[in-house]
Amino acid sequence: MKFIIERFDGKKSYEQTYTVEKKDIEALTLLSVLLLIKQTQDVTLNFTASCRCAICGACGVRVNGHAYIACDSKMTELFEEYKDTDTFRIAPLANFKVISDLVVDWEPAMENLRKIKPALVAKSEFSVKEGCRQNQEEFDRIIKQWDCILCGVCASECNKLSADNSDYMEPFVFTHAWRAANDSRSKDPMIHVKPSVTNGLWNCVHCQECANRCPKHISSADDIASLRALAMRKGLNSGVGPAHAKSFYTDLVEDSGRLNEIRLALRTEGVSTALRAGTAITLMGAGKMNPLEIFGGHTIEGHKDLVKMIEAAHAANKE
Amino acid sequence: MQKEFAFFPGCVLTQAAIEAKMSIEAIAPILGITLKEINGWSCCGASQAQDVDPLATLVANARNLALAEKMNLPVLTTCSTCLLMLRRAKAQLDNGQKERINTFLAKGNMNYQGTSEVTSLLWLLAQNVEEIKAKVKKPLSNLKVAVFYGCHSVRPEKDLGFESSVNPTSFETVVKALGAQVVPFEKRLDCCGFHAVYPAEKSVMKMTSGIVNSAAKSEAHCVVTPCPLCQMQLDIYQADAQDTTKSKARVPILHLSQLVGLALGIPAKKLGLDYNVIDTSKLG
Amino acid sequence: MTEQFTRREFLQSACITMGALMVGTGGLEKAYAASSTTTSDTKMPSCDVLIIGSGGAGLRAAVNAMKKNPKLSVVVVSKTMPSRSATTMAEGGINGVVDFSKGDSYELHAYDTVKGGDFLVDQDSSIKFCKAAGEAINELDYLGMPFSRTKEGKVKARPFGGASKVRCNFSADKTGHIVAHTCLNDAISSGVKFLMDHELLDIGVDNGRCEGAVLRNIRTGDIAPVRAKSVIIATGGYTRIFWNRTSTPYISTGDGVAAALRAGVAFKDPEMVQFHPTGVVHGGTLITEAARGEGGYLLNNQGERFMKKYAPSKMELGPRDIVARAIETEIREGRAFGQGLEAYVLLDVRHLGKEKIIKDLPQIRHVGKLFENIDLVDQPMIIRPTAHYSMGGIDVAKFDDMSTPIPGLFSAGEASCVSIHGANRLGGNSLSDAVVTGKIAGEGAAAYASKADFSAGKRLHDLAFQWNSRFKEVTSNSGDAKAMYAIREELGAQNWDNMGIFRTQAKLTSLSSGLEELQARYKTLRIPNPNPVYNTAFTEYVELGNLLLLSQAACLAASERKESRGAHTREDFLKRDDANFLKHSMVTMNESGKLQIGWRDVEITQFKVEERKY
Ligand SMILES: Cc1cc2nc3c(=O)[nH]c(=O)nc-3n(C[C@H](O)[C@H](O)[C@H](O)COP(=O)(O)OP(=O)(O)OC[C@H]3O[C@@H](n4cnc5c(N)ncnc54)[C@H](O)[C@@H]3O)c2cc1C
Ligand code: SF4
Ligand code: SF4
Ligand code: FES
Repeated sequence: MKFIIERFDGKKSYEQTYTVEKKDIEALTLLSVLLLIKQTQDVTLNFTASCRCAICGACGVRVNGHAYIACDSKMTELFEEYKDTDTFRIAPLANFKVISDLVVDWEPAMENLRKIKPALVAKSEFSVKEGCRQNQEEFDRIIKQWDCILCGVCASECNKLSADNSDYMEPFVFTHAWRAANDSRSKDPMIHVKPSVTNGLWNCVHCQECANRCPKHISSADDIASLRALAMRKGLNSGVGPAHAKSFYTDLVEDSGRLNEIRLALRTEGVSTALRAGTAITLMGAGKMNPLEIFGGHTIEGHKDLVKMIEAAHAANKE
Repeated sequence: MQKEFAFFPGCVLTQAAIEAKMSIEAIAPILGITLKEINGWSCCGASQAQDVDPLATLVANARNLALAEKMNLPVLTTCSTCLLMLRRAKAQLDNGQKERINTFLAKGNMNYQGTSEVTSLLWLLAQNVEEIKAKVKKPLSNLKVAVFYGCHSVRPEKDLGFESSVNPTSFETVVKALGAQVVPFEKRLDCCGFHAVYPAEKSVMKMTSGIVNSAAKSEAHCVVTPCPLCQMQLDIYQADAQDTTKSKARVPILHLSQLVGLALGIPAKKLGLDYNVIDTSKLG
Repeated sequence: MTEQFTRREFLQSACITMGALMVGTGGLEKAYAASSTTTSDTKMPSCDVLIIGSGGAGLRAAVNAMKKNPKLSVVVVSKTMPSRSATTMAEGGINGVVDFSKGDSYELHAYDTVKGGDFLVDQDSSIKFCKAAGEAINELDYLGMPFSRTKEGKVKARPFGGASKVRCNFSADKTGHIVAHTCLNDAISSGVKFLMDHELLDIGVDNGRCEGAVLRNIRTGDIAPVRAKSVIIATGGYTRIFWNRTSTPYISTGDGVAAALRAGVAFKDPEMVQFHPTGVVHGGTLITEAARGEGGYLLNNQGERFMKKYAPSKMELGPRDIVARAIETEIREGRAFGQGLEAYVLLDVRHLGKEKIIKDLPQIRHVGKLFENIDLVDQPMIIRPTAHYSMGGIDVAKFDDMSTPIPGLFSAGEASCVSIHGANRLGGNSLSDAVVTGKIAGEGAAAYASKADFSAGKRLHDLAFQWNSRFKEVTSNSGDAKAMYAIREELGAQNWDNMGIFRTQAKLTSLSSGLEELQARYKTLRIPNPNPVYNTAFTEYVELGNLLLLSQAACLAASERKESRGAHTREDFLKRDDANFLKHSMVTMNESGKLQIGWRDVEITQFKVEERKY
């Protein structure tokens, strides 16, 4: 059984292979395997861990290209996931700067957390002396997002961060913004929503990696969607992102009930945007799109009923 | 194999990815599958509308599912985003939302019960590889294929759940059954970026280009994807994307149904291969 | 200073006068080589209030120091990323009276605390603590902590061991995690600066005053003195002396306590370590008291709820020391399952029902699955005691500002001993301790720093020089890492076997010589990794040195305390002996590095010392 570990000693990167007996590690967690390698084979191997029971968030690493928290990953489960493998590839979390071997730099992520002001600012009816009031339902609404252990797994997998982190933040940062903004005790959600919008809220590519890998089953992607809806409700609806999302909605509810690619481009970016118009022309050139669709396609059968249903839902929701 | 399905084409199949519709309709009869398009289906929200109005999105998809239930058939779609949106809606409805949403559906005399499952073309094929093998007329033995899953055919695993999201195999199994060679492809589980092509254009172009280049590096003759949105992103935007990263490589991007069609011996024209933006003529 | 603080900025600007010392790797070493004996105080980084540790205590200290005097530069140092603390691991709850409607009061909480601590608690501190704990609950609520809620929307509490009223406030079974992140959020939003991946090596004390601390930047390996007007040690407990037989995280190596001991502060009540009754058999991880608080049963191999023999009125909710001893007794007398180290009894929560287990005990259920492949919904958990909490710690002289006897040096949280917990801490009291004493220490240290000047830092400079030499001496391309891990394993086993739940003179005497032998081996250790960059082996080496020192101190006090009290059970002195030992043990280090024991009377104010019965 081989573990190929991606290493970095502060100057150079290299790979190192460690051999262990399968029977010696079968009953272990991945963290125990790393400890075993460090303690019996190579003391220079660096990684971090603290609680060993999935609550401190210190032990995120990548296995075969996917992020896990090592202490919460049983080898039996990994064997099952990567059928027939006799080699595991262990690497540091992606989308973080590597300091050494499997150890990454959390400072930029902490600075991003600072931007969204993660602490609650309580409503003025509450006080330090008397505390707050919150009912169970309001508590239930936010508590899932409070499970975040800042392990960085979501960030490691995020396709948007991999492409460009200069106009985006780690998915968990949005989750932190979400939970502060959606707390019934919060004075003003915009304290957290505004900086989310200005720091990339609309740039999520919906790859669902964050939701898929989070060891606490948090979906930052959903939190991002929800923050977007909140931002739009609060009037933060200018810009390409909101227009793009809205045009899907408009097609669904106000127009035909189906999406129109060209209208989508026009609604999102306006008529003058050369590139998108170019795309539409590419589409028409390939014979894919009927140019007449731009004036409104066929409305789906039963669209009136669909609108009625949605209106009923809205009415019920307002009550 | 289940033979009859309530077919949910999804918006792009009616327009920008018309060739996906052509090819799926061409292969279905040969594989003995009957696809009955759901009358009056609406947009699934495309993982966007929920940003504006999650409730309306759920209502629309409950209606879509209810329409299929009326037909007494399971739902089949080829678009991964539709797959995710429909399955999510179904999970939400089956886990407590049903009654509430049904009061809204009642306004149009509809009712959701939860009787129709939702599956995808890829899954259906993966479950029936032996039958497919038997139907292959023109094994694609000289074709090197890079399989590109696309996010929403595997992630989030809890909503899709057909197979491991970090080590899926269904697609490889199907492509191999068609006789083609599957090349190692580093970015087979990456995101094409489609859903943020407007707000995060720069990043998305980089992602698209990275995928194309990775496929080129593995010397694939084409990239195949089960998802029409991924296909559109990688195909329509390929030239732009490659320009932004100053890359020369061009790789044809096929729909899964087109690749199946080729192996079944269906003429390229019937599969809409001439609609693909990056030239596919060498493949057919 | 800008709002967006980076480590570089700290090093360049907040450090006031940094010079070339810390910029770039190797710079430090060169600087030291050039000026090995002369002190140039303009070359030392500094800040007003330096806080070591980022658990609940350190984070509360930082925010409150900044509030107390916004002009001060306040920096939190942590050897990890800030949220990897023991605080995140606490599950059960946080004590504090907020509901007075059912006859509870601060006095009653204080009485329970004093009695729970077997009267080794300083009663003046305990009453102040309980009042502050009640206030802290509402403050945490105001800061955004999501507590589980009552029907009226108030903070919800559950019954907890040793408490006469229901006052253990909670958030599902992740209370500590939620407290830690509430404190961290507040610290981040308040603009607290962090120096993460920095490790405290020593505290500089010169002319009877604290000068600052020697820190190692783990990322670069640079070891530097940092001057501070006041220093707060909030590094948590030292239960890792039992190495793998503890519920606490890997960071709980008592670094701050050891540094304080070396700097001349007494280590108070070091023998007082709490054993939690319900640890996972393999690995020591905790199954929280909440499992019993919510109604779980402890069963022996006859299927009997054996606590009826040991604490008939409280049953499973008896205080930890009593429950832990009860389990060990069952094991010793053959009424348990398994053999030797693998012996265990059962903790059964199945009768609570699946829904309640899933809703109120999710974390415990997860731990059961992870370590023992047991789903608590279907099967009882297999458990036995584990070392869990350090009642002893850095001698704090004054509760009102959490100052140690050394001016400028403060301590808070589990690292400190003021003494609220005496010989046994009540479950739920330590999270309150961390946030309450953290806040007080922050305010105290800020008040002190507002009036004080920087000291010259001569001792600091020397200590940093010594640590640099030590790194060079200890690390090389050769050496045997296995020897280090062997010492650590043996240390844990020896402490557990001889200074565990049941202690005797003979065991402690043999431990004492065992520890000396381990110390001798430690002195010759060489670590085969000379790379200064994130050298975790060297961190482990430093921690092991601290654990050895702290074990010796605990062993000394455990052999001198010839009585049984709270968590300290001497089988050769089974009775509590108030005539001779209603006193804190005070272990200090003399000039030549030898440990000595002294005693200090317990503060008795309103509660009469009586027999502790449940
Ligand atoms: C499993 C478990 C369950 C618990 N359950 C409860 C409960 O239900 N209720 C309750 O009240 N209490 C509980 N406790 C106890 C409680 O969590 C701790 O006593 C308390 O949180 C200690 O807080 P602290 O801030 O003093 O220290 P910690 O949270 O331990 O923080 C110490 C900090 O110091 C840092 N540090 C340590 N050494 C150095 C160094 N050399 N240099 C730099 N930084 C350093 C660490 O990185 C860490 O950030 C539990 C503890 C555990 C382990
Ligand atoms: S869904 Fe959005 S936030 Fe989540 S990983 Fe993908 S791009 Fe990142
Ligand atoms: S959201 Fe999940 S994956 Fe991301 S940091 Fe938090 S716990 Fe980890
Ligand atoms: S070590 Fe704490 S989460 Fe893994």
